Amino acid sequence: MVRYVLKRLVWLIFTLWLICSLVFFLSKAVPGTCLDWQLGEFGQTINSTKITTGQSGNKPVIPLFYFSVHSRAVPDTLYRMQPEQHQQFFKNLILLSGNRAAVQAFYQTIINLQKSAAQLPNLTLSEKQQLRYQLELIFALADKTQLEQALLRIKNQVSTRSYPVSYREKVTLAQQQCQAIFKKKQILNVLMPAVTWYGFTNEYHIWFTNFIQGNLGTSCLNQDPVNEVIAEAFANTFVITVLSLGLIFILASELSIWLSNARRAKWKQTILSLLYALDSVPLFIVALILITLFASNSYFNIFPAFGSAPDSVPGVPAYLTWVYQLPYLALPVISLTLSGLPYVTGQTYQAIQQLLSREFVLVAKAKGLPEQLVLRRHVWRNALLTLITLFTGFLPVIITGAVIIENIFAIPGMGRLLYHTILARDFPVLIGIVLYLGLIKILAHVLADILYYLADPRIKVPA
Amino acid sequence: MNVIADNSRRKKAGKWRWTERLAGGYLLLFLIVAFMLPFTGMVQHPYENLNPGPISQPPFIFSSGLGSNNSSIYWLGTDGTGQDVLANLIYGARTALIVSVPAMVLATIIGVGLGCLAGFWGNSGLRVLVVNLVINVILLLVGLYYIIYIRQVHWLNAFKVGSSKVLLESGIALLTLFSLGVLGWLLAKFFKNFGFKKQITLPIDHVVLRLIEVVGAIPRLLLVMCLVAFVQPSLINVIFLAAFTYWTGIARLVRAELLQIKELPYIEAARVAGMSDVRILLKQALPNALPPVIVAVAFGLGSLISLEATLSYLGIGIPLEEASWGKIIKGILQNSDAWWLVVFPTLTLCFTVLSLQIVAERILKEITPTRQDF
Repeated sequence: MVRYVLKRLVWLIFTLWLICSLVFFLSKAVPGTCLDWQLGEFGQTINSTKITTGQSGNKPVIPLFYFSVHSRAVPDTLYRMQPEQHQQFFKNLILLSGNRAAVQAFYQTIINLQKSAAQLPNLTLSEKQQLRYQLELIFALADKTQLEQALLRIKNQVSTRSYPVSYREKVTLAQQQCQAIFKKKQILNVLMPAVTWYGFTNEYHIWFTNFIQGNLGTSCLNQDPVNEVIAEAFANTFVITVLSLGLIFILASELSIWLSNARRAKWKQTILSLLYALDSVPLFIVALILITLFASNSYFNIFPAFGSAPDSVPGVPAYLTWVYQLPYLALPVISLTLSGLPYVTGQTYQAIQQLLSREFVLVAKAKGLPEQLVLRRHVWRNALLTLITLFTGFLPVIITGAVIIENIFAIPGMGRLLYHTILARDFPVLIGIVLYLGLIKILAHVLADILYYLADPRIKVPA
Repeated sequence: MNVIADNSRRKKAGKWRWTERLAGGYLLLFLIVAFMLPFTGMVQHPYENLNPGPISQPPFIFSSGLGSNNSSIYWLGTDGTGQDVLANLIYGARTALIVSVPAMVLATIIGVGLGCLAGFWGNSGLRVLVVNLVINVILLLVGLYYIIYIRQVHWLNAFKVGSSKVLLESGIALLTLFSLGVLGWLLAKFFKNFGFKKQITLPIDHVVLRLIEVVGAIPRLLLVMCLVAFVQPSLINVIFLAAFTYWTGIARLVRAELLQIKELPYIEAARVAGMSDVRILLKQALPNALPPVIVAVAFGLGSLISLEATLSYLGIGIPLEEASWGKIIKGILQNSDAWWLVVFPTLTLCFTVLSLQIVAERILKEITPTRQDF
């Protein structure tokens, strides 16, 4: 038993590491850094004092992984080139032509043009910025004709206005260098692979050692430690999840026992069809209907619609404040329960129906036990195994449900955090959420194994 | 031979009940409306309609807009921006189809393929030459290097330009893989002549099960949401992500079915008759494993349609310019009196999902009448 659980645990932790690494690499593959994403998406709304722009510039640039496989034409110190877009531009041109020297020269000329644009006389500030912007746009291109067109446009602009001759010559030089790149191709150089070993000072190694020690880094959004951010959100999610899980399983087993009672044949079909129909309603619609009916001014305004109760209420002892949370939690928990109930009830009901035809039920009935007792003491105990299996399978559904519910009811839990994380591309927090939700699932699996054993000691867990 | 015997005394599955007729009819209507109507030009795409009607008009008011030159009737009312809910519903149906059907087809292909490998050959069924394996793995890595790394610029440019370039790139990729495959075959033959004849068994079942576990370690919607964070919102991306997360159920199902089927006597008989493994799998085993897959596909379609609505409700992954049921429903948040924004999309959504389930069960009965007892 212990060996089995341990084996399982080790394997699942390996799985988690795999997934977290995958998310890590994907987050590195997405162009731009944390900062770029925020400036792009929340340029106006973000609190500018919290962003420490200088910091990211001073950080030493380190390679991504222990080694890299690249074309021999591409320099192995490419990762040091900043910003990232230039890196991509440089690599693209080399992969197209293989002529590293020519690409290097062309790149240097463009950078020079950009720098010297600031010192041009007879130009207004906005014109200088315009020129720099146009030059920067070149770095987004990796196509011969597009590059030449862009250079031609800059050339035309330079020759119509009163730019210094030296500057005009430099633009012409850039054009020539651009042509040279594609004229003297060294394709063989591109096709040959090369492997570079970078050693242990790489991003992945640092991330991974921190990851093992439980340090998940800081959030991109406001530099808070990821663990704190998640811990804050977790409490709310935990309450909702546990409450609705409990409700679902209690209601499901009661309902299926009630339905199994032979005298209720008339009700049976109606309720089963109702549950079947309810199963096809997506959770967010259930929640929206509840919110419209019971929390808006249009119909019955019984429950508060959004948010959570204040943390401390004056005149009430601290341990009683959670009571004030209940009205806020009622609708979310009800909608989660409603959406989970059909599936669990259906499965339990079927399990009970199968058990009812077994011999031990007949024996119990033959002994003259009342039907209620047979159902509760003999059948239900055996149906418990199905319920336990369902429990592990059902936990992910509840967690996903919490994501939707928390968004609709604006509860500051993991689901809402996840939503905002995704919108803000806050990858450290995303990795943290994936890790902790995975851990919860693992724990549920192990718990189910133990419960299995407790419910029916005859079961030999496969070693 | 009991399966063959069962099939020979196949009995009629009985008449279609009225619920099944209704469900089938509804699905047919749904397909026609979603595919045909947008092409006839009778309904305008809700986000391209430049002269919207009255804002938040309740449904079933048939006086054509008084005092305006807009003479259309809004059968199911309008939303907060004055767009027709009915047109929105029809285009939303199209989006739901465009996302769910290709995603499910992809997921089924992946799932059936991997499920077959795992279930039919198991951990000991597939023996390969070590030389063969080593050569193929090396050549695959080489191929990936050339196709993905070296040609990454071309791929990016191709995706920017459009379909013809993408096809060209895919052609080059296939050609590279094919020539590498031929090379591998020749090399393996060459080495075999020199006495490299050691064989090992591939534990495919293990690998596929672990793969299923890895993908299943995170809840499905969560996985889709996480992956959506990495890509631009577009329908194609959502389709691929959904396929990537939905194949596991089908793979598990096919694997379980094949594990049972491959122990049946008629497979043994086919083996004795000298049929090759691949032929047995395709001609004998797989056809008998597919019926439960049909049900799983129908349920999967239903849940994908719900997923699409949920994603568009949350505003993740589905691009802004696509009409979707989830987006109509979202309108209730601005105006809680507008019940028609919830009722009609919800009814269509639920009817679609329910009909899919009912029809799937009916089809299962038609194909395997002996199965209907469980």
